[in-house]
This record gives sequence, structure tokens and C-alpha cells, in this order.
Amino acid sequence: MRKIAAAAVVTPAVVAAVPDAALAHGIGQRADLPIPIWLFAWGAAIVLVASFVALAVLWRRPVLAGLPSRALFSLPAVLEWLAGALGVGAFGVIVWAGLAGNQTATANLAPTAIFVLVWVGIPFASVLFGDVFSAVSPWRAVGRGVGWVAGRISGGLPSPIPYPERLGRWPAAFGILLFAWIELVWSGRESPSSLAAVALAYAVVMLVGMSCFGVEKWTRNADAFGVAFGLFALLAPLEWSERRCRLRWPVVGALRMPEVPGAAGVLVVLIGSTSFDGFSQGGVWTGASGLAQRLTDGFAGIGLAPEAAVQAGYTVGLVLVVAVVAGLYRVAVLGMARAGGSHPDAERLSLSFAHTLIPIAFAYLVAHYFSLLAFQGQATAFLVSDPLGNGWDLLGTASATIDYGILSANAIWYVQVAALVLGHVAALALAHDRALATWSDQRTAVRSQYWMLMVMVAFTCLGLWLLSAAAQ
Amino acid sequence: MTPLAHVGHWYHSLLYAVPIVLIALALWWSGRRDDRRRDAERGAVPPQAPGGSGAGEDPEAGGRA
Repeated sequence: MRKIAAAAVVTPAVVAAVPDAALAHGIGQRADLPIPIWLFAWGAAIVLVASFVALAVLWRRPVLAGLPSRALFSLPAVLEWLAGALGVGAFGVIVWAGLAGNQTATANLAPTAIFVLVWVGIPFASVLFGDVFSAVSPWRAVGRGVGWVAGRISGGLPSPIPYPERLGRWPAAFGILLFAWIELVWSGRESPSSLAAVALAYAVVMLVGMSCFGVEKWTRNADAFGVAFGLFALLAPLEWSERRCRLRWPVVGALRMPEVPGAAGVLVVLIGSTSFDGFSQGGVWTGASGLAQRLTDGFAGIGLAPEAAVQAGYTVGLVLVVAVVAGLYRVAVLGMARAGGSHPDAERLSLSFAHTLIPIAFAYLVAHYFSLLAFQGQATAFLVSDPLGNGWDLLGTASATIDYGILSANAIWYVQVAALVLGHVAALALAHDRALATWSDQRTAVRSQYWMLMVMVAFTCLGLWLLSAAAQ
Repeated sequence: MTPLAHVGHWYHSLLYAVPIVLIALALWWSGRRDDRRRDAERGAVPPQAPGGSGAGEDPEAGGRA
């Protein structure tokens, strides 16, 4: 217990006891807030503690799994084909723009499409409308199309190789880490042609994987984007199955997250990579004697070229921040296991409570990228009209500009704080309900969540600290 | 030490850790209280047959609902 307590205090405290970090991708405005920013962290912590007490007093048996859903409508099969074709077409245009277009990142469609519309826009769409990516996923559409054609011509394809169950979703977790590395570390991320080449390589890996292990099995476990966006879609009020749409309570879908190896790993990498994006903008990382400089000097000292040394330093930072997030989740799991009398054991709890990280991952994404989507997302208007950046005006919107006045810095800040608080309250509710289902004794269930509460408060304060410099 | 010389730049970052530390202290205090209560309950129970060296305390973990 003392070991867990020490780790629980030290991990976030070490992270927090450093100078301000700026908001990743923040737009250059400063919020004019009525109270110091650290007071928001205290207020958020009070909200979480009050929510925890309310849950403990008012919520005495598991209810989420029994909440009803309602059938809404069905879609014709042709729409599924059209969505797949749209995804393949969009992917083709992005790759074409990247390879053949202007190599200035802001003038080419590819970087904005990949880093803003896909990586940030699709999670927002998924939380609102359900798993939209599975409908438009280009590799899934091609895989299913090839399977359909092969079935018509030769009567079917050979049976796929059984997917190794022990592998679970670890390939997707690795894929997300690789994408984060490309976005935050790789020196070639500004080059549209390099991004397009990576996108093509990824598509090839996906197609090979699907041909070996089957389209659905591979998509559900190894496609980094499919898995990540599918997790966010579990928070949506719309649930899709076989083209049938059902209305359900928001967030409740998280209960249906498969408890497979690597499921928590995917979410830890999502939260950790977003955190590193914020952390790497701050003074402690970028300062004259900051961590980045020290790591770079260290790698240069062992003979790496300057550019390689910088990338090596950032790689270490990314992995360390992901490890800190993994450490926090581990603290919560070990604390729960101890409070529950080690039954179920920590490994089992790590799987069965992983779904509580979904709203946190989305809250972090909103907090860090909301302004990016709001502002840089507007660039889509002129980029789709001139995707290669060579002066075309296909849709008549090439002269559109980004309006930075649509949102004030204060509005952005309040959206960020609200996202962090609501995301963590939702996570607490999910964890409380799962605890009641795990331990028949209500008191044990509540006690098991003390540690989860502390980790939720730690995630909230960490998130606000990462945002603090941008808003000051 | 350079970090101490620049304390004015980073001390306010510690304020973000205060809620975490407070909750950790509350957890630690709660754990100690539970341990004491468990010890007191054990002391009130008549001694068991020889052979029980304290390793079998698991069943009572959930017995104080």
C-alpha cells in the first residue's frame, strides 16, 4: 500500500513540478481568465471528489449494462459501398496531392487531411455519430471489395490464418505510437510527399494483414486508426450493427469494449502521446537547458548526427510520457486489486477497467486539439479546391481564409476545461459501475475506487497543467 | 542549483499537484485507519488453533461491509 501511495504521489508530482508547458497546437491568443489557472485544477478536483461521493451514496448497484437502447432505422447496402468508395477516393486524392503537389505543408492538402481532418476530425465525428471510420476506411473497403470479387469469380478465398489471440490489440497500440512518432518527432512530417509515402506503406501493411488474417479480425485488432476511432465511437449515442442504427445512452457503449490484450495499451498510448504533444511545447522541454536539449546533447555525444540526435531525444520523451501514463493506470489497478482483496487479480482488473480510459482519451484529445480543428479545419475549404497547392480553384473556394475570430481564447479554454472535467466524471461513473459489477459487496466496490479517484484527479490536473501555459 | 535559482518560474506548477497530494494523504490515512480497525477486530476474536500464523487473513477483508 505504501509503495503504491509513494508511486501515486511521485509520478504526477514529478511531472507537475516543472515549468509551464504550452498547449500543443495552440493558436496565438491568450485567455483573460478571472482566476489563476491552477485554481481550475483545484476546482476540477473538487468536482471529481464530489462526483465520487455522489456515486458512492446514490449509485448502489450496476445499472449501465441494463440501460435500454432503441432501434432507429436501417441503411441500404448501397450506402455501405458508396461510403467505402468515398474513403478510397479520398485516400487516393490525399496520396496524389502529397506525391504530386506543392511541397509546402500549408499549401498541400495531405498534411492537413492526415493530421487534422482524419486524426482529430474523425474522433469528433465518431463520438457524435458512431463508428464512421469503419464505413469509410479505405483499406477495409478494398479488402472487402477484393473478397467480394474473389467470391464471385472463384467461389471464395482460402480461409484466413487464425489471428494470434495473445497479440490482441498490441499491433494497434504500436501503430498509434508510430503515428504519434511521425506527428511529433519525425523530421519528415512537414513533407507532403513523405507523408503520402508513409500512408501508402501503411495501406499496404493493412492489405497484407487483412489478406492473412481476415478483414474484420485484422481491422478490429491491428488497424491503429480503426481501433482508435472505434473506441471513441463507443461513446456515441448511435450504435451501428449490420447497417442498423440504434439509439443508446452516450458513453454506455464503452462497456462493450473487448477485454483483450493490448486494449488498455491502445488507450494509454493515445493519452500519453497527446500528453507529450502538450509537454513538448513547454519550457521544461524546449527551454535553453530543457530536457530536449539535454537529451539531444547526450545523443550527439555518443556520435549521432544533429538531426538524428534531436529525433532520438524526442523519441525518448514520447516513450517516457507514455510510460508515465501507463504508470498512473497501473497505480489505479494495483490499488483496486489491494482494496478488493486481490480477487480479481490486477491483470484481470487491468483489462476489465480499461474502458474507463476511453472518455479520458477523448477528453485529452478535445483539450489539446479542439482549437486546431476549429481553426486549421477551416483550411479544408481552400485545400479541397486546390489540393495540390498549384493554383487550381476546382470548387471556387480557393480564396477562402481562416477566421481566427470565430472563437475567443476564453471560449477555447472553457471548452478544454469542460472536456477534461466531463471526461473524467464519465470515467469515474464507468469505473464505479464496473466496480459494483465486480465486487458484490458495495463497500468494497467503493473502496476499490479510491485509487481510481486519485488517478482521475491526477489525469485532470496533469491535463490542465499541460494546457496552462497556452492560456496564460 | 539552477532549478532553485529559477524557482519563481516553476513554483506555481506545484499547485497543480496539491489536489493529488491531498487525496493521496487521505488514502494513506484511510488505509491506516482500516488496518488499525482490522487489528482491533483480530484482537477481539478468540485465539485460533495452533498453526495460524496470520497468513489467512483474506476472508475477513470483505467481512466488514
